[in-house]
Amino acid sequence: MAHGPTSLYPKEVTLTNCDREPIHILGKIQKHGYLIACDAISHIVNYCSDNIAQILAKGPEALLGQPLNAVFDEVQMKQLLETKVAEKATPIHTTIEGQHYAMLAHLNEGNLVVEFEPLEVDANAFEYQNQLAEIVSKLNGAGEEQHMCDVTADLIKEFFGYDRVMIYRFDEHWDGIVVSEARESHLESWLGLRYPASDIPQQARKLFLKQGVRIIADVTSTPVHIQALGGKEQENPIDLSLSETRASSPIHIEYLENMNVGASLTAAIISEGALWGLIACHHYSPKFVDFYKRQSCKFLTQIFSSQLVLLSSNILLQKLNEASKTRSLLMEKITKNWNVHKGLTKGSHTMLDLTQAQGAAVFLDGKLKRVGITPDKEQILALINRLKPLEQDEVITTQLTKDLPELQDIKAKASGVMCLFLSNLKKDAILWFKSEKIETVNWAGNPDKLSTLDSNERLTPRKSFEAWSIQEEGKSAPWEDYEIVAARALKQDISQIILEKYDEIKGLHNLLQIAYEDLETFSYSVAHDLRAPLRGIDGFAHIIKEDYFEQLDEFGKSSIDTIIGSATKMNQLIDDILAFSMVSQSEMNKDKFSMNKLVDDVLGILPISQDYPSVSITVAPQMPQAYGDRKMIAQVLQNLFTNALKYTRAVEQPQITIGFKEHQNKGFYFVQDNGIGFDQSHEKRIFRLFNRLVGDEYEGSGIGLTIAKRIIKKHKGAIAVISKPGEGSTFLFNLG
Amino acid sequence: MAEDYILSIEDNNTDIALMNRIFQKNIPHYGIKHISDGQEAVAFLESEAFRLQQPKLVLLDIKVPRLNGLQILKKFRKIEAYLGIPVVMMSSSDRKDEIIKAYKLGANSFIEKPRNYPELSKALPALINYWIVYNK
Repeated sequence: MAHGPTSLYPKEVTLTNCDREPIHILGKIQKHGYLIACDAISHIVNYCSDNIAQILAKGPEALLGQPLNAVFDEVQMKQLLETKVAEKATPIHTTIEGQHYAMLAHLNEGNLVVEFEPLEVDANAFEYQNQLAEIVSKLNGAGEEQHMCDVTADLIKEFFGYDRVMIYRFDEHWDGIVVSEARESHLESWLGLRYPASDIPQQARKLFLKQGVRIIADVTSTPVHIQALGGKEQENPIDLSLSETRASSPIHIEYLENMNVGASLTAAIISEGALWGLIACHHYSPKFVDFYKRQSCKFLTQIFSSQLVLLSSNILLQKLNEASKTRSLLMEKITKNWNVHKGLTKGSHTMLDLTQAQGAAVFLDGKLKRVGITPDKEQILALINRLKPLEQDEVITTQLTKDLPELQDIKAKASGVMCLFLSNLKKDAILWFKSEKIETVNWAGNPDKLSTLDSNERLTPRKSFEAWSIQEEGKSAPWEDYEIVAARALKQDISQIILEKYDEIKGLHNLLQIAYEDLETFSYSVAHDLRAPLRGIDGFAHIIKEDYFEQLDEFGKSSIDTIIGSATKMNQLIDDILAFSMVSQSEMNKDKFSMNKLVDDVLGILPISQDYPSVSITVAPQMPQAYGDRKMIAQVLQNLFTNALKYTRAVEQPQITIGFKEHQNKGFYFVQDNGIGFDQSHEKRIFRLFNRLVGDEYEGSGIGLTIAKRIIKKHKGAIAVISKPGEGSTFLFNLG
Repeated sequence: MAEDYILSIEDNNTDIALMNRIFQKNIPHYGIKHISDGQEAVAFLESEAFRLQQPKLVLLDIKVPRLNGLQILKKFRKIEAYLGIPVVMMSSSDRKDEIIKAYKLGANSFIEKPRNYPELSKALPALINYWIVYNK
């Protein structure tokens, strides 16, 4: 709701003298009233006001201790005894010595309380009805809140004739602001003035909820004392919570006197069960408004309250509607490319559109994205880190630095923060920021000197109500209900999407698992099914060569050799592809092993003396031990050695050196050759699948180095090559 | 069919043709009988005809239709009377799990089918001769 204190804000209750003052058991009524009360069961009179003789012809001394039917006649008694708890009885009209009085009865705390107050009977009932009807229709026509307040203030002024009518609204701290005013032209305006919460203390606010309309008919008159049976008014004071004529507290009277007010009327504006504000009427001389008129005022106030609820509900509904449209747009954007960050902060619609905030941010999966005016990234992360330990789903404040002074550096951009955490465990959150709004607050009197202690150490209210301006810092505009609702709804949406995304990833993972299994089957099939026809090609080519070679001409003979050569190549290619797929599939079996021993083993199985008789191979005698999958590293070495042998074949004195050395501050095993080498710019390409830098004169599938790289990567190690055309290559690797 | 023969359970026609050629060239004194279906093979192994005329050796491919080589081996090795007949398993791959399984089920030897013909034509007769001589 756009007004009044909501449950979102902490209700600060400061107990002052005023707050402690037992204003409902002061034991006094106003001068215009008369009171007699009896025990609700025995009907023995137990309280009387000093002035009761003016009405009942007998004084308190004569009445106290008497049964009530000794005071009232049979008809009156019957009416009085119909009074029910928590209900005000219909007033009984009585005339005493030509004066009209309303007799008002109510039950409270086991007492039947009967009050008398004057009645104005001169008013034309018909005209009065007309006036009320007019007021209702005017109120219904008032479109917006401010207009409604203004119309109400004017109508009440006109109807009741007070010098000043103010509509006074409570903020979240129970400070009151004059939001509308109708006054006699010679009076200075109090519109916009703020009254501190202590001006209307907590128990006064409670009483307002119980009793809609109250008047003080004559501020300066002396209140009338109430006597109790047996003089026990001190020990057993009468509870006047529901009394119409109850006298005000001396502190309040002094407060009004300090404002030069002679009479007042106050009506509570109650919206959805909570005190929204007050209609406060001041008159600068005594003024009495009778019971019926007060009832009219109550009725008016009720209409005003319900209009207010209707209006704010309509506004809320409209805002929520807009927000829900924005939300569906945001969701559409997010689901389009499954990017929550971009969806919320980029493009024509962003999460900022959901509120009146100046900035917003989303923190998800360790990534922060911002939109609008916000603190910088580090500051937001610090804020999240500060808020998360509070263990609240959401933190909503309009005065961040008052609550958390250590966050002073973001005061300007984020005095208002609304932070909704997306999960209990993680720091993922959506946030909105409202900038600091330095506001000039016009207090009615210096709020630092609201009251002073007099010579008797008694608290007295302030004497001056002159406007006192204060610059208020560190506060933002309030968070409206619709903003909070929209933010919560967005949180729900995002949580849903994250959940869906998780499911999707899980689905993909399962598919991947199946794909891996398929790949394994595929590799096996390749081995099995490709080999058999290849054996046929190779086998029958050999058979032709064995049995029919002489019958062929030269081209036929060379063709047979080509078939056999191609089959061999094909077999090699299948071997390599299988080895490659095995690397990604197989589990690593890590252990410590001697690199020297492994190098010897691998060199041992290569046909070096047979195919490369002229090569000279040097192995460093004491390379460091290695830790990894020995079989896989054997594959790496074999591939590197085969490479080195192949590319040094054309060199006059082929040399291969195997060892260990420092490279860029890290230890690397290396295989160095003096072969044909290549341009260093091809370094990356050389490790790619099926990438060959050389022509067909060098056999090979272009897979060997890719396998080597994969194995090293699987070990979280590094592999590199340094090469120069004509000077040879050095392959370096380590195992992480 | 010659008196001494080798039973080959193999479904690949190319391999069958190559084997025929190798037998003919290198071990012409042995006949060769091929069965290319798993269930057929088991039926034959459990038949009276088989009991009366037992092969010198069984060459058993791992991948044959309907019942695979390992399943056939399992059934065959349950017949105690034939435990003396050597079984050589053949496969196009060298999958460790299969090799171990084959030996556990009672295979006498396991060879990965050689890549090229010269190798095959040397390896196969050698292996067959070895087991036949060993068995004597």
